[in-house]
Amino acid sequence: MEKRKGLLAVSIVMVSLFLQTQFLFGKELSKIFLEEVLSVGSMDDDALFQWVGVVTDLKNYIYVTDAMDYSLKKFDTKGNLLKKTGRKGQGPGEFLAPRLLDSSDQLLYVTDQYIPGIHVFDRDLEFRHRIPLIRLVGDLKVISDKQIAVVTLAYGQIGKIFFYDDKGKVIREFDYSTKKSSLLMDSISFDIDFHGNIYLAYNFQDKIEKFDAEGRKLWSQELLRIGRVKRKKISSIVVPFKIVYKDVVLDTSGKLFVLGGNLSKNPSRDVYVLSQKGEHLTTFTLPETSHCIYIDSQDYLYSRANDGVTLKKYRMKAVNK
Amino acid sequence: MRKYWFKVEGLMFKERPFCYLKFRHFIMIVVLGCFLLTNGELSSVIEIEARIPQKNDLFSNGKMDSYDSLENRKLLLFIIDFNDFMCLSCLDSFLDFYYCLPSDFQKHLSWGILVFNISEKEGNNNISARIVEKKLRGFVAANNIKFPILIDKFHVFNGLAEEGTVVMVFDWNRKMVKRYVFPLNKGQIEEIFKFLTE
Repeated sequence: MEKRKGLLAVSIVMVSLFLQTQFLFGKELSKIFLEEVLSVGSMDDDALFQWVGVVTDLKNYIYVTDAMDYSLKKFDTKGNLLKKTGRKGQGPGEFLAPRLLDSSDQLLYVTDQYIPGIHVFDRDLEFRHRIPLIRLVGDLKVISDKQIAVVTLAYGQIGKIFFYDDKGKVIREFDYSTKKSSLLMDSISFDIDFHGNIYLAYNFQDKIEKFDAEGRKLWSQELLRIGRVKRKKISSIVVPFKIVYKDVVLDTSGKLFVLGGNLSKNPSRDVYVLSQKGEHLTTFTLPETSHCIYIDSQDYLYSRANDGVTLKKYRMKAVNK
Repeated sequence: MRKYWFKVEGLMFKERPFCYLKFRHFIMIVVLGCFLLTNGELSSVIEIEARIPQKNDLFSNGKMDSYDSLENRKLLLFIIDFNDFMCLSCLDSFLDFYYCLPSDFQKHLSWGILVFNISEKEGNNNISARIVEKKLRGFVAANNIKFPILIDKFHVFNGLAEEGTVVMVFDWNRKMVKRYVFPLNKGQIEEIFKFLTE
């Protein structure tokens, strides 16, 4: 009798999960609403001063880099600060401007805007080691404890994603742009799915692309139809000054979320949702401007509020056509 | 007669509401000005380090000393541009300079004013000021800044920091005020240190 009851409960849970998944991520997705579930850092506390990178683990702990006080912070599920590490400097576990953050099963990987290489910490924020890279990191995706994908900011190296091992040795290179573009035009944010497919959002071009694990381009998409991005001369160099796309992330079902930049209808707030095939499914707007977006393993969305003093966590509620 | 005068005045204002408004604004400005002159504060103060006034302070017991006691005095005023907080390397020159200062100038012989510019689009000035205040708190604690920094809520000093963070040197001996924009070059640093140490 007990066994049958248990089976019934499991079946109900499975069916409701299936229905929810269909509801949330059905192909006919037309709108996404955000429901705030957590706010980390207020005007009065000293939890966050200017957060930059965010990542969560399977226990829903939240890890954040804070550029203002040169630190890496760990928060519990209610947003309480559990631990903080780091200070200003260039030694082990020290930062000049901590920035990107990603994680493997066991470790956290942190980049610094002004120091080449990647700091590696465990989940208790103890510094483990540093992966020595020659170049500054523009974007980062940790594939496993043994493999990290990196886009560098070095001139002449833009247009490539480098795959490094945990010692900082290049395992392979992937050229996403073979033609020689002018400065910064090929700078990207990227994400990689479980099959090794690579998704790119160009920071200074109206271009979102998908490549398979072998490096074949599967599709390319322009969402804003803005034509050529304006550039201006700073000192002696000509650079683009308006960001088209700021960040790109995948949710658990493989949908692509792209944060628009200065040229979107709602600058730094519009998020474009694309299917695996590159179809534009919907666009939703964040309540406040953000420099990045992050989606955790349960499809909660994280973004910035109060100019980086607050981190918001949202439940995404989808409505189908 | 008196009643009639009021009636006329009332009519005047009624027919010329702009004048009436201007009159009301004038009275409000006078009252506000009096308040600020007597005991109002222009800016909120972040207490960086509580301490007992020292014998050689420029101001003691909240009152200015006599002119004689101001002789041989030098002061630094940092006007810090909040925009530089968005690019932390922009403040590196300021921090490097600050850490090299004689200890008196790292504490009580320096003052700071944090200026910020919030457009109407960005909304509530009150919330913005609170965000600025919080970021300043983080910056001060992380970089171990010892001198007091005021937040210029009413944008009194914005014009002085249009090119970014600046330092102003007040030298009573030379009867001189000079302004330098960060990042400072080697010659400017040497010049300022000469003023401070001579």
